[in-house]
Amino acid sequence: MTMHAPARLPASQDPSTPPALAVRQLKKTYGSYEAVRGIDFEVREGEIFGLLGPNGAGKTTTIEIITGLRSLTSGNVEVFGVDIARDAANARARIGIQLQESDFFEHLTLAEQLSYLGACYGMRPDTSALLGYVDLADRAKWRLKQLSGGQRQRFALAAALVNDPPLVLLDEPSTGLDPTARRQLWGLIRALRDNGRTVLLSTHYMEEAEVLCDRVAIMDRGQVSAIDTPANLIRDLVATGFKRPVEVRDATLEDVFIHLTGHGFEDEAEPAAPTAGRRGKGGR
Amino acid sequence: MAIAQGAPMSTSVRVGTPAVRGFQATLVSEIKNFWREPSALAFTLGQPFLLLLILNTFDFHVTLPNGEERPYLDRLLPGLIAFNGLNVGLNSIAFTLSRYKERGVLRRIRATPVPTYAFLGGVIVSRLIIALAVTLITYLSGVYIFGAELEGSVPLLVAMATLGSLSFVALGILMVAVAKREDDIPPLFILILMPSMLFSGAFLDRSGLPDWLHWITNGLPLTFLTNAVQEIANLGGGVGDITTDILGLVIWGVAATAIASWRFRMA
Repeated sequence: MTMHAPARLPASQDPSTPPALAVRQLKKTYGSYEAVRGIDFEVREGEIFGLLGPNGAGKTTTIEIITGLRSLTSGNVEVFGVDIARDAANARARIGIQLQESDFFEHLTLAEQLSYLGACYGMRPDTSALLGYVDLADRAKWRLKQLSGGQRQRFALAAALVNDPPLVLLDEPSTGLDPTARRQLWGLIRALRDNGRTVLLSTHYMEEAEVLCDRVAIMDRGQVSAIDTPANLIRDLVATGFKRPVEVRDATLEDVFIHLTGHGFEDEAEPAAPTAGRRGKGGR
Repeated sequence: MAIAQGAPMSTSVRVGTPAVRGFQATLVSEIKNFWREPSALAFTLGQPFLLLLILNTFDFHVTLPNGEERPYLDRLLPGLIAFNGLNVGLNSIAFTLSRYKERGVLRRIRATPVPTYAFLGGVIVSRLIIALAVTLITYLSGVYIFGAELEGSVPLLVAMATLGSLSFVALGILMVAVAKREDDIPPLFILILMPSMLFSGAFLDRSGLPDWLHWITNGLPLTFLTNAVQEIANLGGGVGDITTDILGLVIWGVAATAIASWRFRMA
């Protein structure tokens, strides 16, 4: 797995520079239903920031408002100091996105899809560098439907970089992936940050938030209840005298898996991919 | 190309504005998508040829409005050229865009800075190019393979067919704008297709229709287009002879565009 992410210039250390993302008193209502209830958070340049919460917490709504896919009811959002309501095109140009429930053209190759999306930003992306970064360099002529779930998610990550964005938004990037594919994706996301990009991701996986994110906002029912590093959040909870109920078991299902197959989930290679260069069959 | 970790290099270079580049890329991608979709190819390019092949086996003559007796093929070919406009404009636009909408392709594009008009512009121009190709293929195969004898100006015929396609493209986008789901498109399409095929004069002579039906179906967009194309190709008519038909198509196109721009949403 290649971990060399396409890089950006190192984040500015100047304290007067605006945060990568500032969300202030953001509200979104649908009739009487409040999807997002006046949330505040800032994402600092060069960090991986997680929105952690269950389905329905308002994570996707928040991300879709930042990308301009949904209008906000009140509050404001600034991307590197650019107000998304005042200058949507300028804000969008600085954001790379990976959305849930979105798709690409079925008859274009991976390289063509990336070129197409780049053109939508007025840019010409280096498709081989992007595909190389997500370890799909030898799949440039494949169609999307020939990819496995993990490859698809990695491709979506490459597609989020076509405009060379300083801020990358990932909406539940690892949903539906097996543990191996998830860890591969985490490595790629870390490489993004290590090369100077800022990442905002949403997740409902506790482990993902704890292992991957520099800071997390805990979201529930449209509200943010805490923002801090995972370590601080845990330390604060422990400081209240909290003790985790301890359950000692002689073996777990993972032990059973290893016993039966001779290897762990994490050791397993990716499932064999279809032969390179096979052309996709027509749609409808 | 491998990239050294931490190297301060970017992945993309700016080459233009999102509107211009997005328009160009959409145009090219749509033609590729069309070319690589076997069912679209068969339906759009194969169907006119097949219809010519089948309908040409009916060996009878029709009487033109000027009283002249001509083989059915001579009347069918312009009708088929008009029908292609409906097929390419309405069918391929409506089915493709509604599929993009349902699968989230439009959402993904909407999240980029490309303006909706630039994206739709690319889709529309791609369909006009395809319509032009289909018109030429139908015309050339009708005349040179099946031996149809047409009058009038070929450039005017092609221009008229293209204008007609543009009106149907507008109707196709309107259809996507009012449909709630992809599944709503087939019934809407049939609703327009059936009366158009039966009553526009493209395949069947309208002179036998009862007065009231004749009067109602005078206003069908395909009736205007068929009239215009037959006037040019069968009677050698010029622009002056088809102003009503041009006006009719323009009104349909403008009305559909107005409602579509109000109702159409990328996501």
